[in-house]
Amino acid sequence: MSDELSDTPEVPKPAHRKTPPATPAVQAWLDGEQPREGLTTTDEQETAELWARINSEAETLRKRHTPIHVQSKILSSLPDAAPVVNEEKGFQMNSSVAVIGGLVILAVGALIGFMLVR
Amino acid sequence: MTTTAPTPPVVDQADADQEIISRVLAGSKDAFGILIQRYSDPLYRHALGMTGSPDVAEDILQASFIKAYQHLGEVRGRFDAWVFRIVANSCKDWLKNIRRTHVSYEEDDQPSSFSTPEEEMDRNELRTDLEYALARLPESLREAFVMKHVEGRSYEEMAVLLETTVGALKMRVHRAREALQALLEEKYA
Repeated sequence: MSDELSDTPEVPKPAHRKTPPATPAVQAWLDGEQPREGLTTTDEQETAELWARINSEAETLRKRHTPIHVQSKILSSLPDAAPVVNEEKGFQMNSSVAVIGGLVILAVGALIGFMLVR
Repeated sequence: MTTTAPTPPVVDQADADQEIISRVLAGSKDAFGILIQRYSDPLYRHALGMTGSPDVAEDILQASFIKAYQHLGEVRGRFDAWVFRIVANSCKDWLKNIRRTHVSYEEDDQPSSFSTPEEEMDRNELRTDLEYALARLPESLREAFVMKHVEGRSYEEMAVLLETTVGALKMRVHRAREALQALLEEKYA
């Protein structure tokens, strides 16, 4: 009996047929730039069918929301210290530049004075 | 078919965000909750699309909002674009680390018993297959695909958020589609 079973020829698995790659027309349809009716060839229709299914699945993912507890969890985990406002950053830069500029002028003045005295 | 979701008027939204930011900077911590409520869904979807893990997406969202709160005084321009970049960079960092230490998405590598993808497209299975293929896309292609197809953003909106051109993004999305389809075919073969 078991021999009979093992002798039964295996039904060959149907070969996988690849979906044709997306042509520029299919890409344009996916970008919303042309209607699906513009896809004329059988290959394009086949590819469009695959992408319609993918998009349908992607759209269900788009409806997902942040789990309810997450927003309150984030809010409660914010640090107590208020955010730092660093508006004075530009002012500090300017004052630093002013100090350096002043020192340069002083140095140049001293140099000129020294040369005049000599 | 279009994958573009309606977008809110950007200028009004930006003004409203700026007003809230001023309140937070003036010491109203609770006002930050409005920003969390306003942007957590699209940011969560991005993190989920990029990582494929709800737990990781939650962690990234939490860490990103805390970072945004701490650096709120540094916002220049649109808050939504600024906070998006914090989340997007966190996702990329996570992906780099996860690849370095290998990990997940490796299961379910069995060849299919169906003859065509169409036969295989039972809904749950398609979701698994999509996640499988997405996880194998290079980071920049995955980001473009997720933003366009999962988040339903327009190319113009993506260009603002990613600070690049519409043309460059179109090319990236097209390449992502080709790669994703090839990965699905590879799985079904």
